[in-house]
Amino acid sequence: MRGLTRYLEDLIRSRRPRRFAADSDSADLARTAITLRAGRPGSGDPREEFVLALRKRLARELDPPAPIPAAGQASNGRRAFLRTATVTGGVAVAGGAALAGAGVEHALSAGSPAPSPNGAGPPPELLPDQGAWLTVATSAQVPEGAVRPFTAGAVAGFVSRAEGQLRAVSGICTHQGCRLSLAPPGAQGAGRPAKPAALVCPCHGATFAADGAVLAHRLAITPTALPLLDVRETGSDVQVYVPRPSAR
Amino acid sequence: MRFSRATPSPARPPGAAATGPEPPPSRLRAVSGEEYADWDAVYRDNVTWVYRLLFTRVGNRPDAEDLSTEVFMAALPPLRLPAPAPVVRAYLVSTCRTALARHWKRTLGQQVTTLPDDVDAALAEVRAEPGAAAPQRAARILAALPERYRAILELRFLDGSSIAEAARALGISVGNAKVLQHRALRRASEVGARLAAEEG
Repeated sequence: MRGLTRYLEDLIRSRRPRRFAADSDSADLARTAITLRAGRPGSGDPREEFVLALRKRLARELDPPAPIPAAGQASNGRRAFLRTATVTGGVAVAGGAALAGAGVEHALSAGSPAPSPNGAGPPPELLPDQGAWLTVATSAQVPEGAVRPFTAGAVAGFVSRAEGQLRAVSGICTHQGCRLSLAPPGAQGAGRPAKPAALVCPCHGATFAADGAVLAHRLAITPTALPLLDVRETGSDVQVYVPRPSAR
Repeated sequence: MRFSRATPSPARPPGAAATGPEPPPSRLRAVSGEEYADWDAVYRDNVTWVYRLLFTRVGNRPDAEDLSTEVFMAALPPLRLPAPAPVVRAYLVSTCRTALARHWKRTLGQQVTTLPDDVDAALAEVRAEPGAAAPQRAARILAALPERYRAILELRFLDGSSIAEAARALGISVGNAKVLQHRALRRASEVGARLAAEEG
């Protein structure tokens, strides 16, 4: 109650509201207060100074001397860097986030195949250059044959295990960026083989397999396969390599 | 493999029409071919709505600025460009969603506010008409309240009056104003929940 009172007072005075352990009742009241505060006409636009300052900060992060590599060949270099860094630097590189107790010995990506020599090439990979290994499930939650959605930092995706192979793919349709939903495996019916779980796009109905391959679509051009995410298993945790949550 | 069955056309998929039915508001401008060439284009075209969207869910500037910073700092470095604008927007919405979830986890320990699962719904709130959805939501709640409740909430949350000023304006004691505010907020919360349910 006291925490809520202080929270509301901070909100009204446009200060950063201080944290407190809210029960669901307090959360309801806080939500309502936020709705009312956000309802002040004209209150919701960013300050020009803020927009400029953030742009400067991003420029420091993103502009040369750390150029953004173009898609394609640059990704190999980037991956090589990641691999090396992860193996040698382990804990330091992965920033400690979510890495508690994780040995580096088991670190590397069961899921992402080396670039294949054949023409088709592997599915694209989604490799943040400043990432962290985040736990997205326990091993028990991803038994053989399971597909499980996760959200980790900036990335939404699905982890799965098939034939012992752990995989993680992006959960965003490669056509227009809609978020895929998980269609549970079809029941084994009379004369029908069991249908594996599929990732379905709500926008145009494209369907992907848990390993990212396109199963079905009705678009003019076949969308690309879902990007693979680096995934690993440490102890009893399933972790994916995703953009690092920003420090605060 | 192709689908042969005809399906009802979905609600406008992201970016199906070049810039949507509404003229883009001030800082949001159409990007040639609806594709972003570099991070700066992504930033300039999206920073306003990202901030607006987060502001409607936290209700205060310091948190909205922190979260907007978090979203762009997390989203831009791994982004491969050039990329189609709708894809990038969907990615930003989903980054906002996770940033917001983390924010509540570390502050109140409850998911106080969330973003809609549907990217279009989230974008429609803030891109179509600048800031219109949030004032409407607040106005609808206030309109459904008894006079005294509405008065105290307007004084406090819209005008930003102190509890003493609000008490004076209503001709009641500070103690009574506190009680009135609490009851009014509770009622408003019930109304808000009902309206949200009606909206689906």
